Amino acid sequence: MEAKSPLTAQTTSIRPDGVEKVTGQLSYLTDLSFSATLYGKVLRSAFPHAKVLSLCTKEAENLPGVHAVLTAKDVPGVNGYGIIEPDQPVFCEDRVRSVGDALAAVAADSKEIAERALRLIKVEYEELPVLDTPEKSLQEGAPLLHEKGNQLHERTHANGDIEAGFAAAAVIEEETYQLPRQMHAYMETEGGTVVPEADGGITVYMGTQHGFKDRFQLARLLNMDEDNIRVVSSPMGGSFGGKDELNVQPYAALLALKTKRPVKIHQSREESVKAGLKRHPMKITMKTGADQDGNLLAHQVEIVADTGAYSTLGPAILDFAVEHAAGLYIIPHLKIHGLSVFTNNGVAGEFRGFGGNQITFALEGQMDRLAKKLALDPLEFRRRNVRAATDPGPLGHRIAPHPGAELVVEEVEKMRTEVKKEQASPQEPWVKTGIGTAICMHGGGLGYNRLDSAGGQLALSEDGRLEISFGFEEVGQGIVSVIETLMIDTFSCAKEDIKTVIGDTEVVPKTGSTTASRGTSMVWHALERMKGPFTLQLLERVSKRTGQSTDAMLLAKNGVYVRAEEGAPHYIYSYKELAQQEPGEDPIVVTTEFEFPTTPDPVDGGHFLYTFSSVLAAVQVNLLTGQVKVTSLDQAVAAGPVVSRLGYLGQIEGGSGMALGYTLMEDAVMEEGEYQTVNFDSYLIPGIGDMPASIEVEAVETLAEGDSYGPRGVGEIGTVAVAPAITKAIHDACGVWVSKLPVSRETIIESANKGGAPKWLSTSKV
Amino acid sequence: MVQSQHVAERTVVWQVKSVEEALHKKLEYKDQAMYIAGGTYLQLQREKGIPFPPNLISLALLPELQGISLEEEAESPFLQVGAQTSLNTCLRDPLIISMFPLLVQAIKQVAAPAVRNRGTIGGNLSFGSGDLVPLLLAYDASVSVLDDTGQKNIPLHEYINQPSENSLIIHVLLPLASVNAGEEETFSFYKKIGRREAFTTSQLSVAGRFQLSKDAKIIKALLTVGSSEEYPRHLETIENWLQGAVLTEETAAGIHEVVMKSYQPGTDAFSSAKYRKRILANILTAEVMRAQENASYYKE
Repeated sequence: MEAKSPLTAQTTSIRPDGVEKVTGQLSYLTDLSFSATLYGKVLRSAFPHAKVLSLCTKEAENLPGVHAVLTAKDVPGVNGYGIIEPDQPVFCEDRVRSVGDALAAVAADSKEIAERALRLIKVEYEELPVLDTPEKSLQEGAPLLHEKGNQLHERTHANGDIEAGFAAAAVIEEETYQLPRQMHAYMETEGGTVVPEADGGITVYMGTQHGFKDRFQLARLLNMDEDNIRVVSSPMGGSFGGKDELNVQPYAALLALKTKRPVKIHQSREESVKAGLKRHPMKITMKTGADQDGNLLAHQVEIVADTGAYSTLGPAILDFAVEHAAGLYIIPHLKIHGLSVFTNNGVAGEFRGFGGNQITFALEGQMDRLAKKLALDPLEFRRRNVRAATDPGPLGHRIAPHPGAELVVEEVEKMRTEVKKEQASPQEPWVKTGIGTAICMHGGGLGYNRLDSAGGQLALSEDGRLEISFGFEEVGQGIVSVIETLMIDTFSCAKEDIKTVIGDTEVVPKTGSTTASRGTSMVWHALERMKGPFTLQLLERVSKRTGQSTDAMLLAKNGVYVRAEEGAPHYIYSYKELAQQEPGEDPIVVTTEFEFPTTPDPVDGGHFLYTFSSVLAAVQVNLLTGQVKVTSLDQAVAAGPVVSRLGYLGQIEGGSGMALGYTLMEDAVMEEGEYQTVNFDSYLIPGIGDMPASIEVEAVETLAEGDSYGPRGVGEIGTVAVAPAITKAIHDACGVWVSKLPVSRETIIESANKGGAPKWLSTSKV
Repeated sequence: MVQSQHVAERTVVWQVKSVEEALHKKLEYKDQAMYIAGGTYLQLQREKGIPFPPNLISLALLPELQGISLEEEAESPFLQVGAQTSLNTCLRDPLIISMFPLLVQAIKQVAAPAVRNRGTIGGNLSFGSGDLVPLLLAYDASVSVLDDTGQKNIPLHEYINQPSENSLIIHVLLPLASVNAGEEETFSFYKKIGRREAFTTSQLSVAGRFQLSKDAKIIKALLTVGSSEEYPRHLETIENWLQGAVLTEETAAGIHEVVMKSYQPGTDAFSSAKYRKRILANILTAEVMRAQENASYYKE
């Protein structure tokens, strides 16, 4: 199978949820209103680290309009949440570990009354030393943030003999890379309404990336049967990993049960900044050696991740970074060590790219620096070292063969030739242009030994449509469009024949989380499994009613057709007629359950299906100010066949923009455990003015011979290799190596001018 | 006089009908009241947890604060811009576009388009650190203000340095001499450096205006800066150094040195004083180079 396509040049159909979203007609879950709703607010800690000596809610309770004030004593089940380890208290009792920690929650007649009530809650704290760097947390004698200590997770991987590798190397590069605390910056902050039901249960109308996981966690803390909890979780105004973990669901649920009224909580941006997850800041030291011919020999990596106050998916993110530390390069001698460390810096957790963005920035930085030392073209150097289709995975484990690494290098080389031809030299002598490239490999799914089951359900609905159900969520990524496209591909039906059901635990099957680039892949796998039996059930019913042989019939637009010896098949039976159940007929339903494909080798967290990407960035660097303008940002992605062209393009373009922000401006700055950027006036994300004029996306659809795994998801890959491509372009422009993100303009002008008067001053005319 | 609806628990918005009534209300409530124009700055403050005062005096409906007119008959002709003129109205005004093109460039870098529909030129000056202030200082702008002593014109730099508690800006006055100095050439510039291309607060805004003799000597130099960390002000040491200097490469190099020695900016969480100093030095050097290239003395 061989194919590639420039997506920007192709026409595409409008996505099913497109018009409503663009026109603002769509109701998100935070837009819903229920009668007799109360408004909830959560009291967060005043300090990043403190003992709680006392907490008094009396005054707040007495404020007119307040219906309930809850604290730790009001949690009937486990006072904690966390997808893997429930170590984040719903309400802190005697100690707070971050400024996002909750102490109490209020339900009142209005948001304003609830806010006033929060101010009436008296908390006496005794401040404790703030551990605001992993280094401080790891120091001997540092206060322990958790019983198990300040180290959340450690992961190592080694192969060969690292010392021998370095001994044989002709060139060695050693550098420490520092990565910032990026915020998801979704438009819709966390929130929604929890409605108490007559049977004592609740319905939770709040966005999440995994409704069933929320249900499980809520049942645990509410001490309630899972069946009594219904989670309605789509659509959402963005998540990017940030709403994968529970956020305000526990508070709205507890308040709704207490007051027996619907309770709405919708975080302000500032509350969202303080309580929400962020991308892990990491410090990564890499020492990498190659021989004179440019063959990589040895690679030693030390990762320290600042995971903040609680676990959430911190261990898995570190595992992912360790797994991708050598990425798509074949290096015989490896020694990789990662630590994820608790601090008082908010909570770091799930974020699009999942540790891959940090490690790839460091890894690609090493490749560019080594290529420079060896006086090799950076792409030639990469070509000599990337994996072939059938090479083992980065942890030495078996993976699905994929020729992506070599193909994306080839593609980016062509792009580079094009962009070089077009790049104009600026008129001003202090503006320098440069081009940079980077490549990456990214695992999909949760990995070996992680609960990662998937599935789906197909049924003939009562109104005569092909009803497809998944437990996936629409987070803006376009899963509805993916489902529709694959349904049409599979059954040749019309759009109108399809009914897609997602985002409601009451009616959808368990199909796993909407994370880890798994949605597209799992929809395809589920349909592959269900299409045969489902088609057969439909045709058998028609056959029984009409006497037509099932072999002679097929599904298509609006119903069932009979094949003709010559010419087009002719229509004989509509889906609507078929849906009218006759006596003795069973409902037509097919379900499937399966596991996300994973490596057969027992490598914890090891992935099996990988995608590949190469990025080309062109920049203009202004040496007056250090400003970097990205003028083009092109990407070739190898992820199997494209399912939804617009969705694919949106993921890669959107991912590129998000990663451009990560590279040039985004950082949730913290000082002594306090956020300095509590709104979008100081936490900057790119505006349209910051986006490059040109973004070309090339889909490399080629798969290995005999590949049976179909299209892979592209939810994350577009964000991974952008930063190193931009920083290499900066180097190309002005000779400055950037090892810390976001790029510091100060570093650029200080290094470019070597601290003295600007070079351009004496050498050029304006 | 109408008392309008409560916007917060205790804030009353007064919809006054005349500037005199506005001043009267302000004198009545003093520090318990603020004037509110477009409200874009106060809204930002409120978002940061600084509540509205108990009284807001809305200037939105006052016709005498609107409009742009050319006052050519005055002793020193000027363009008069009503304080309530929205930033977007300024952007589209033919007089401003033709006579003060740098002001157009500067306004385009103030806020997002929707905010510029509400934000006013008077509002940008009245909170002290607006992005337009450095440029208007370089234009030698004045403001016509009303306070308990009556209405009078005062230079903008005086208003910025000592705003009287209750005074109300009626007009902004832009002297035509600042863009057309008759026989003499002028060279003006404005740069706003933020942390991204899309709108953001300024790390450094710098404006300058040189009046040049025929042999490319700087007869008059005005240089002003402002930033999120620094109220807009003249850079007097550098202005004095430039006075009488000839536009040459030596001057371009020299100004770099002078800035590095004399300019003392502040530091915030995102950029250091050292960075601000360095970019000011670089920008001024580049502008002197550009002025040199544009000077007709060198073109002939």
